Formats: sequence, C-alpha cells, structure tokens
Amino acid sequence: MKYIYLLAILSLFCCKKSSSQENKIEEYLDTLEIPKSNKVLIIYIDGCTSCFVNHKTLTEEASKNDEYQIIVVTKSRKKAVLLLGEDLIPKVYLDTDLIAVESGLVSGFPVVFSFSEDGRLMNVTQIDYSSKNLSLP
Amino acid sequence: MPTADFHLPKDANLFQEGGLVQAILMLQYTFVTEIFKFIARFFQVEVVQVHIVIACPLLLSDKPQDINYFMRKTFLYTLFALIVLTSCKSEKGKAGIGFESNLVLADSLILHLDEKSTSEFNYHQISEFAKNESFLNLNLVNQSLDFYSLETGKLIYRIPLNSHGPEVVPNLGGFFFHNKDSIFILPKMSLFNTTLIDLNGNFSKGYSPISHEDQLVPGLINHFSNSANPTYFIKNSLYFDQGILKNTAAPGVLAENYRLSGRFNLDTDSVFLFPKSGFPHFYQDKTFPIYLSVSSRILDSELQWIYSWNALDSILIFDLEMENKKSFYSKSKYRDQNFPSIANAGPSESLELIISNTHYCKIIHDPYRKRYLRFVQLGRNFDPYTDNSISSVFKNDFSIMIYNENWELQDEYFFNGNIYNLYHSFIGKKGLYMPKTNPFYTSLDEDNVVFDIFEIK
Repeated sequence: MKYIYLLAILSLFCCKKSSSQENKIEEYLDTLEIPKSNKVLIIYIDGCTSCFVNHKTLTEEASKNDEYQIIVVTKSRKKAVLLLGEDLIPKVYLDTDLIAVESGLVSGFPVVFSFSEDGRLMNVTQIDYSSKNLSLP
Repeated sequence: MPTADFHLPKDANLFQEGGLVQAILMLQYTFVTEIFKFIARFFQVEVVQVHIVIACPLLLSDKPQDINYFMRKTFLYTLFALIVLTSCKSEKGKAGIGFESNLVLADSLILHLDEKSTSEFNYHQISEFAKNESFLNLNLVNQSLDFYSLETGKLIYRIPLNSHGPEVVPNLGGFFFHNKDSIFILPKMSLFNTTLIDLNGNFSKGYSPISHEDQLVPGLINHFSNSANPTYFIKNSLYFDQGILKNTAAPGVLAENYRLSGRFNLDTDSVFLFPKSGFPHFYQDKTFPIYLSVSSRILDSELQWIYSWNALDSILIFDLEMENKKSFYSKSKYRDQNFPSIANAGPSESLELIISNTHYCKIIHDPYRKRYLRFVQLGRNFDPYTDNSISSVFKNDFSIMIYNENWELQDEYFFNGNIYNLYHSFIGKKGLYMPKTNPFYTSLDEDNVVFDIFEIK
C-alpha cells in the first residue's frame, strides 16, 4: 500500500498543467472581459522599441475593420496614449498587467487569433514587420 | 469513551474504522501543516514540499493505525527537514543591510515625467548641462532628447527630433551628447544618416559613411548603441559596436572571425572595424543563444575599453585602438555551473538556458570613486507556463560585483528581481542610481519614477 502512496506523491511532480493555445486565448479574453469576435489582434508595444510606427499603422488598419478586437499589451497606459493617439485609444483594450506575455500569447511581433463562426480557434498568424506590406489576415 | 490524547487501540485499522479517526487525523494533519507552511514561507520553501514532508511519515509508516506513532515520526521528519532547510539557506550579501558594506542605500530621487514621457531609459547618458548634473534620455515615444536635473528630478530641457522631412534619422537608436553644439543622433542597425545637431535641434551635418571592409553584407554596419554598449565620440571619431547577423546557436558561427567594434572617422567619412573585436576564444567551440553571445562594452576614464561578455567570467580590457589586450579572471559567487552548449537551440530552449543560468550582463564605470560595477543575472528555475518572453529575465534576482581600479573584487551584493531595471541604472556623483522600472514592478507610478541611490565606498 505504501508504495502506491509513494507513487501518488511522486506523481505530484509529474502533473503538469496542460493548456492549449485555444484555452489560453479564451481564458485571456474572459479575464479581460473582452467579447470574442472573429479576429483578435494582440500587439505588445513594450517588446520592440523600433516598431512604434508599425504598431500605430497596424492598429489603425485593424480599427477600420469591425471583425477585429484589438488588445494593446503594455505596462504603460501613458505610452499607449502617446503612441496611438487619443483617437485610437477608445478603440483598443489595454492589458497593462502583461497577461498576454505571461501566458505566452504574444512575445515579439503582433499576433492575430482567428475564430470560426462557432467560436473555435482556426488560425494564429504572426504579423511580420520585416515585410513591406503590413497586411492583416 | 473519548480520550484526551487521541490514542487508538493498537489493533485499530485506520482505513477501515472510518469517520471519526480519519477526521481527527486530518485535523492534526491540517494543524501541523499550517504551522509548517508558516515556517516554510519564512524559508521560501514551496507549500507542496511541506505537504510531502509531513505526509511522508504517515503514508510510509509501518503502523499507520497509531496516531501517536505518526505524530512522533512526523515530528522527527519535520525537525530533520527544518535542519536541512536552515543549513541550505545561502548567505546572500544584501546591499547595505546590517554590516559594513561597500554599497549602501543612501537616498532616492523621484524623476518627474510629464505627459510626453514614459519610464523607458534604455538610451541615456549622464552629463553636465546648464550647471546641473543631468540625466539625458532619448524619448522614443515622443521623438525627443530629454534633459533631467539629478538634483531636482525635473525636466529642464527638451530637444524635439524631426520625425518627418529630409533631416530625419530613420530608426532612431541612440545619441551622444558632446557639448551644446555637438549632439550626435544615431540610427539603429546602420550608421547611414547619423546626424549632428545643436542644442536647438538645428541640423549641423549628416553622415553616411562608406565601409570598404569585407563583411557578411558589404557596406552594412549593424550598429547599435544603448546603456550597456554606448557609442562614444572621441578625437573626431565615433567608436561603436555592431550586432552579429548570424544565428549564434548554430554550430561553427561563434568560431568565425568577426569584427564587432569599430571606429567611424568623421573627417574621412570612413569606417574601420577592429580585427581583435571578435568573440573571445572561450566562445569558439560553443553554441549559445544570442543573449549569451553578446557583451557589455564601455570606455573608462583611462580611455580603455572594458568588455564583460555575458557567458565569460573574465573581463577583457583593450586600449583605445584595440591593439593590446589584458584579461582578469573573476567569477560571480552565484555562478556554480558551466553553461550547457546546446546546438541549434529553439526559442523555448534558448529562453530556458538564459533564465536558468547565472550570467553577466552590464558593466559600468564609476569615475568619481574609481570603481567598476558588474551586474550578474542569477539563474532560477524556469517556468514554461509563465516564462514566455525574454522579458521574464527581469524576474531573476541579480547581483553587483564591485571592483577597485586595480580590478580587485571588493564584494558582490545580492538584489531581488522584479524591482529594479539594471539596464536603466547609471553612475552619478552621489553613487549608483537604480530606477524601480522593472517590467514586473507592481508599484510603478508612471509620472513619478523612483531612483534608489546607493552610495559606493
């Protein structure tokens, strides 16, 4: 019997939380109380200091498309306002606790999560600023 | 009949008698666990370890039916565990606490940030300006060069930098303040369009040097300048560092000959890359992620280049033209294992390697007290669920090694992670300034940033 309990204890070290990308994005949207839409664009503006112009262009583009929810990840609300301007700020959600970074949803370049009509995650697309055409999926 | 000491009959079977006995046992277990959880928090031990320590004697007991036997065994196990935990607690020399120290928290400064400034101080310089010891910061969000008094913490001057027009510096990535008539505005990833302006922001001259060196991409200088590797203006030349363009995790890359530092002669508009500025010999048979394959390089008041490579214990010292080299072996007391050399490590593997291994990062010179300060990021357990970005390295604790002018190590001091941003730290007349601008610092006031000032003895 004691060996069974010993195995149970050892299993404590083996249990790992497994969380798919789909679960992570859903938990994330729930945490920030953001309604799910067809596309969710997450931009981490503290990650690349030489990408400010691209961040703004991308946010402007996405804000013109009703399919998109835009989440700007930054420690500094002030920085988001300075960077995007007063007009764009009401159109974005701010993640000032960097939850998207902690949970691994974004690390460098912006990411678009695309969902199907029934809410299933279909695609995750990273926007590469090195290409001249900043096209959204 | 109830008993005061909860002693069970010898032949009672704990797992069959059920209800009351198990409830008593659970109560005792909970009570003991809570006491030791409290102690564990003091010793910074995981709560799960407490459960294991306390549950082990119960579960492995030969006589699980005897509660007193269990309690005795629990007591002995936990006493043993506590002795082990106490003896394992490392001596961490915290700066300025309780003993004579070469680094003492003496004061603090509040830097007042206006509505156009954020707490990003990656590109800064300390200089005398308008009779003030001043902190100059390249404000990338506002595209300006901001001057703060280190006496009052207030913004005393601002130079707006052109963001449009022919004189704009694309990809702004550094500056060097020489005097009020000569301020170099530097691009990132290139030296093309390096610009000289004056205090009013007026354009004086533009530079686009031609490099005739045999390089990976001919003519391209992957220039960068930040607080750990500033570009300097000396004798009408800009001395700079450039980043490697290859994947350092691939076998053989670190063995190649590179020239990572150079001189841009402003008179002749030409670039010379120093032949001895490549990777030290230590790197040549290894593979490392790029973060461990870089160095911090500064110029001291004797016009010597000081190199602290992130994975190398030794400090390398060159003369100005990088012809003669000296080295001093000096290892952090927190670095107790060699770096694993993993070929072609992917992003996650690289991140784990960086976060879990103690490594060097930034070196600064204190010209007032003739000291050198070397920052060391201390390895910790990698958590694949929350360590998802290179910024997670700011959660790591760090230490500061202090050397005298003869490179004799004076001491090494421990600092907790999550508070200071060591890349924003600098030396002023009062000592070492360390801002509380760590990305994981939860009490950051975006308008009033606290810089702790440590006196250096």
